[in-house]
Amino acid sequence: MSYLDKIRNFSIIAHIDHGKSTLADRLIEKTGLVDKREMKEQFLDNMDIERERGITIKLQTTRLAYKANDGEEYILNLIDTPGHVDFNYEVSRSLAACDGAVLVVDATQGVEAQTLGNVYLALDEDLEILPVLNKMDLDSARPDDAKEEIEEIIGLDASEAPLISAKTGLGIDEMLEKLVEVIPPPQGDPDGKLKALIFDSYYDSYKGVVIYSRIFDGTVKKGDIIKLMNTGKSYEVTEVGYCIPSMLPASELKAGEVGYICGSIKQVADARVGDTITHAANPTEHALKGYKKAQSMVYCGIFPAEGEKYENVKDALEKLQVNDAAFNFEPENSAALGYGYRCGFLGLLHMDVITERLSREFDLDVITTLPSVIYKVVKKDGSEEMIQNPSNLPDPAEIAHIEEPIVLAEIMTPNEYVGSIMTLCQNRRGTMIEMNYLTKTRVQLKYELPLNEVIYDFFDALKSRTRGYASLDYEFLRYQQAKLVKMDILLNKELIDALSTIVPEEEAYAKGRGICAKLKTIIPMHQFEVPIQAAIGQKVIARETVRAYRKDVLAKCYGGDISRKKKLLEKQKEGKKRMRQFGKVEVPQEAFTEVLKLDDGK
Amino acid sequence: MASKPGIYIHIPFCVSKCRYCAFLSGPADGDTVKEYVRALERELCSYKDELADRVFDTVYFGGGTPSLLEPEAIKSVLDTLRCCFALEEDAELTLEANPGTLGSTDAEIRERLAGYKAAGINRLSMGAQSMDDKRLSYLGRIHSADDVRRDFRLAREAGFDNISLDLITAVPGMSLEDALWDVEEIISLGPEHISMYTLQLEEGTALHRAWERGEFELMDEDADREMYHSCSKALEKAGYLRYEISNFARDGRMSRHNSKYWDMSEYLGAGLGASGYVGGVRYRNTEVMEEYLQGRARAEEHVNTRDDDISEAVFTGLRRRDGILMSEICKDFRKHYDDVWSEVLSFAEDGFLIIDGDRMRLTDKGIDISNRIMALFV
Repeated sequence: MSYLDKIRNFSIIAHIDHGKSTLADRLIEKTGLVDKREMKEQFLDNMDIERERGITIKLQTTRLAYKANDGEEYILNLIDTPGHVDFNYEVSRSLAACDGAVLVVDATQGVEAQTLGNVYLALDEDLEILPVLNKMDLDSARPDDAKEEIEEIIGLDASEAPLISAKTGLGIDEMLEKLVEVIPPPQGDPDGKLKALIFDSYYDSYKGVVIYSRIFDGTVKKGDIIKLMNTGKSYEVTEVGYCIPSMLPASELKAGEVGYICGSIKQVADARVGDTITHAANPTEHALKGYKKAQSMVYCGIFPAEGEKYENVKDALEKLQVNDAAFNFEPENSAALGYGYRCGFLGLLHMDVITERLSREFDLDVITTLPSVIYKVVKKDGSEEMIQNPSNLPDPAEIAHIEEPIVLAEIMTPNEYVGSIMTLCQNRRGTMIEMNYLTKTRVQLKYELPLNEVIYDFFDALKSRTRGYASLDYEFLRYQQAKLVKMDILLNKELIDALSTIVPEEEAYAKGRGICAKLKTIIPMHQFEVPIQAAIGQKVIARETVRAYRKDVLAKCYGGDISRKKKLLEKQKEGKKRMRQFGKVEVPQEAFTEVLKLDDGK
Repeated sequence: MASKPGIYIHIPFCVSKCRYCAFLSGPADGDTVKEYVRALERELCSYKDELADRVFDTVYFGGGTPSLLEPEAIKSVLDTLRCCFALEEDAELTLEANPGTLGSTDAEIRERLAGYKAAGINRLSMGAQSMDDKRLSYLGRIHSADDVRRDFRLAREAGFDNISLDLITAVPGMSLEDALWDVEEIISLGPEHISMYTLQLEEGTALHRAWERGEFELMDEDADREMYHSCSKALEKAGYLRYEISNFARDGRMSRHNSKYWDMSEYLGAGLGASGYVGGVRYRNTEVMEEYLQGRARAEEHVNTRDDDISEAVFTGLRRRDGILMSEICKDFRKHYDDVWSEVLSFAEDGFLIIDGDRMRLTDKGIDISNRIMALFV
């Protein structure tokens, strides 16, 4: 019996909230590599933001040891995956390093949009899938219905799906037995030429870049000279080991195993996720197929706030990028906000997470501008330009037309909400492609929607209209011509480039009114009236006015209490510092991000 | 430029709390008052050596209601002062006297006023606040408009030739006509000095709680400002010069004591919660009566830096009609405020501020938003 037969490399995939992270915790607890006392809630979600929001953002990996009923001890390598639709890219990365996947389905909810989406990703990688039904401790669990859905909707045999409760630990042993049985052991030749996949990496200030890798063929150990096939660069291996999930050094990593490799690599960019590692002296001829580069879907500007150093922001962005292959940035210059960066994200949640990490982990004060998708501008001379920043839109006279990204959105919902979802999609310029009754009460709707309409608050709107029951998954489809115009915002007659947006022509008036009204609530009163205008080209389409303040005076100082008065004035001055000065108008920094929270309730 | 030092004495007792008042005061029971006066004298004496070289030219009894102290108590405190410090012969000695607290019959009031006079008090500041009985009761005052007229007349008869009256405008529900009527009534009494305050809603007051319960709405800012300026005009027309944002005087009878707060003069503050500025130190006394009675008077102090002095000189000085002389405050005033100077100029351009050679002062429009302008200089 080869050592390979005792290894199982797998991911857990699930719709968000179906209990993936809880299950991962339970597995770690059961299989004993971590002391129970050391366990934090949701062990693998180790960013504060992840725990607070109850979501997994970064994939994580850990090695488990399980003694099966056959008396053998199995090594289980669990590669955790993010659960939000923004992070599908990371899911597919994890899956490429696995031989199978545990599909968790909430027995009280059944199959959801991302259940489907994740299954398709797993099937793309030819993975064996083990369905399990979770949340069996709840009275509302209806495993038979859920099984039926798995069989009907996904086409997987669920008759023997383990019934578990990740929360109470019910059925976990049975699930582990089943896992060892269903998920195939890895293939590979430990004596062959080294061929290993980088599925993640992060920067450690002591060890340099730490690579997470699945070894497909060959063996790697300390002292080896490895070559990264994509970049062509070579490094000497300084340490290899397993993730338990903390780092446990080992003598070598062999074909079929999952672990980490350090090699004094200084930049994460040099250890690109998806790249193949081989030996410099004896390289493999064929690189692994790797992944597509993560596609940024949403862009926004990130600028140092008043008093914050540009260099600090740059350093922080570089560090974040090291751990996040999907995040990218380049320098940008705004007339209103000065020097900063144009940053690309997988989606709005991803953007939120990055900006929140900037403030939490790096203690930075930054201004983020309105997010924008990438528009394709076709000029009259036939050339094309991709525009991530509305203020870079060419002169309208040069533009033949503008195209915007369209996504295919799959929404699954109980049938009673179909009507209100259709209204929502219609309001967001959606076109219905299909409507399928998956079961008697569950409906799948397929819509083509402009990405721009999806990124802001579509998910929230969907949840609130369906009391949380509908689920969403989407993928990029194509660019499509649309009647789009650039809408500028003027404060006190001055154009604020960071507030420009690209909007559908027919909605310009409504959006312009909405933004002006919103800004009116955000911009403080000045000693003069501040007109707020939305304009398309030279034409003003909406206007509001922040009226001038008339009174800010203290009657008197109590008994000569100058200190108290001084404190009041100092506080006033402090408040001013958090503002951004545009001409004579002071704008609070949140204006740039708050404006987009329009929801409207339309 | 700074003048001679003054002394502020806080008397934290009241018959009852007015609904708008956030000053430090509480009920007066006989024993506490006696103990308080003793503690006050002890505190004053403690400054004897430190301030041996100063010559004071004002004493101001503020409150609370200082007129709740018997003339003997006031005399005792003034005697202690004279014994510890050098007091100018023609020093301005002010007592805040609330109508309705001097006595219930003419005879009682006459006797009490004569007592204060004999103790050396030569200026009275009377809290009239309004001349409309309904508004007085809304504000929680314990007196009527007639009480004001009577007490004022008796004070004149007692020989007080320097009297200030306080007036509050912008009371909820007050119309411009109401305010002007109050002003005319006060003018008709003919005081030397008038302090006119716009009602300020302070947290922790009964009025603030009523507002939070939604019992009334704040006066519209435009109406508030119109009221202030119209009343100011009426006062100036009657010969009262607005020498500070809230203070008006005829025939040069400005409050010598209050002026010290606006020109960086020293003032010793004594009593519960009093603040002072002596020897470059700003300090504040404890607001806890127990502590004060036990002799632990001073609660916090701050040694002013040069920057502190400069900014305080600017924002207090700008309250005055004449404003500030920049070079007097700081030789390179402009350089010192280099970072905000463009904003200063833009306030000047927009007519909020007048910079005339070395002098800087607020315009009427500037007074309305004076905090914004002053905040530039802190």
